Amino acid sequence: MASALSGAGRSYRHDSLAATPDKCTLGRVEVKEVCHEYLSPTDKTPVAALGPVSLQVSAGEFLCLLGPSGCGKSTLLMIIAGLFNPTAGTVVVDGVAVTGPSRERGVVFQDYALLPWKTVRSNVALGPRLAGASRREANQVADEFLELVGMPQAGDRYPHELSGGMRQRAAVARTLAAKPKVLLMDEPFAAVDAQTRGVLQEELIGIWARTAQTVVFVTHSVEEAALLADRVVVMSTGPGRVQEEFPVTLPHEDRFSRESATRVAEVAASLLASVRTAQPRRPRRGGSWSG
Amino acid sequence: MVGLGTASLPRASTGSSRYAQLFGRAGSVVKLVLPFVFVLAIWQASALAFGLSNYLYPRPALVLRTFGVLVAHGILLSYTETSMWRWFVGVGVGTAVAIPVALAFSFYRPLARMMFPLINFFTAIVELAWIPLFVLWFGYGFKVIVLSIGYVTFFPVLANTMSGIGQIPKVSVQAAQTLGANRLQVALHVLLPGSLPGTVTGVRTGAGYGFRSLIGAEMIAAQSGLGYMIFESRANQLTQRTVAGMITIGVLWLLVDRLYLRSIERATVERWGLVRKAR
Ligand SMILES: Nc1ncnc2c1ncn2[C@@H]1O[C@H](COP(=O)(O)OP(=O)(O)OP(=O)(O)O)[C@@H](O)[C@H]1O
Ligand SMILES: [Mg+2]
Repeated sequence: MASALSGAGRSYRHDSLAATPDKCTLGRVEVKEVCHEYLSPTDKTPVAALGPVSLQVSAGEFLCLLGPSGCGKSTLLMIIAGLFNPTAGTVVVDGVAVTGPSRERGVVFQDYALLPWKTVRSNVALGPRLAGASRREANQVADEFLELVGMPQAGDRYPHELSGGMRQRAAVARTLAAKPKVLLMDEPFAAVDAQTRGVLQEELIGIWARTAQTVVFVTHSVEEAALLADRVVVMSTGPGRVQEEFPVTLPHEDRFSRESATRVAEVAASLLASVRTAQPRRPRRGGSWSG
Repeated sequence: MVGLGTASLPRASTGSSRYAQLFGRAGSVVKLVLPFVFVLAIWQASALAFGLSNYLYPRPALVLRTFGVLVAHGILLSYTETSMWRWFVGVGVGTAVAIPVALAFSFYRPLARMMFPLINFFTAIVELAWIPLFVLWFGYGFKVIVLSIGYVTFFPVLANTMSGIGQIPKVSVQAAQTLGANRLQVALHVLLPGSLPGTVTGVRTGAGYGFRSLIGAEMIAAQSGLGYMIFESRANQLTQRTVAGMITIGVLWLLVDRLYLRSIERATVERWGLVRKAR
């Protein structure tokens, strides 16, 4: 699907970003019978939060995870990242079992996780720095990605001086700048305004089309899932499991156009119906689908 | 841990009174000086009231003249320099040892748990108790004094750096790891800067302890410095020099804390928005 986009004729503002890694066939993620239990903070008894969940994400696929709040989406993402050890089951990436975090699997954390003692530029430059780039090179890459997320002027500021939406965009830029094989994004656009979100969604698809990174993208918005995903996995709660999967067959290069809005909306509607059954009790919080 | 100097300085900028606004800088200077003028007045009044001799209870005027003499002879400046250098090196040594230990402890929690009783044990042994042994090992002078200052600086820096590390959100470490950081890089990019609010508090506290330790150590183990002057002057019937030395110490600490330690904090911790609300 990535090759279908390369001739799509959309222009990207950031030519030097073409220097992102070559399209590769790496980044295949297999989640095998993964369960996770948290110890309850009060009496230290285990509480099942997730699973068993089995999932396969092929290399270069854009997978969206949808599901009610608390169904374990973030937990699953952390397990794929290697930040939590699952209570049971394994995650295998390109045939190798995940045992810990690695630069191959980049994470956009739900609460941003910017380092407060680094400027926004240094935060974004951290990935390239750790990969051995010189300070100059790393800062240059950082500035490119900051421009990409629409905040070229914020490089010298500290995270606490930014709005929530700007922090989130900086976090996205930081993860992208590290150029991981697998992108794990936890509601990365939840805090940004609708206008900016639209731009960021399109930029993300643009980058993804060029780099063929594997993406696992958590969202609460069925609209967003319909716009971005090759495949949507709807999870149900208590403990989190896979409820249903939806392949989205619309060509990516068409989805942002006005003409295909109705078709995207149809996909969103069927996702919505599935999410509704995944959430038995009260309705979802208002406005979260307004996308 | 409560720092020696941390609570003692009135901070003009935080004053909620209209005073500071009305008089600006002049107002804040007044607020700084006023309590000292008050003490000075009590000192003078009590000297007059009890009619004690200048040897037993040196008057402000005599002490002021003594300052003149000490400055004219170059004694004050040279002793101050000597003492401050010892203090500076001592605090530096204590801090330089404490930070890596704190990092090691936070990487190897079992080691930390194992070592805590030992650390506690040594914290209890006042550095003055070590000085006889230090003198035996290193002779009189610089090394002994630096060692005892380093000794008292070490513990608060260690404890506060550890607690600073403990307050770093886990997700900060995780973010660095997913960007490719190994242990050393996590320490460098996350633990060290993230624990800085704690470390700064620890250094301020330790510097205060060290400052007191400096005078104590100089009384026993030095032939120069402010502590030496304070101690020896009494034996030479020059109590006014003792008092002059005491005042010098206090003023030095005020200056150091305000100009130096505060500005470290401002340049780092406050800029990053990391200041703890509790303080
Ligand atoms: N550190 C923790 N300790 C105990 N329980 C936890 C912890 N973190 C999460 N949980 C529980 O695990 C479940 C899954 O949490 P998770 O954060 O993965 O949900 P989520 O699907 O990401 O929700 P949201 O959409 O609100 O972000 C929740 O019921 C939550 O209460
Ligand atoms: Mg979540």
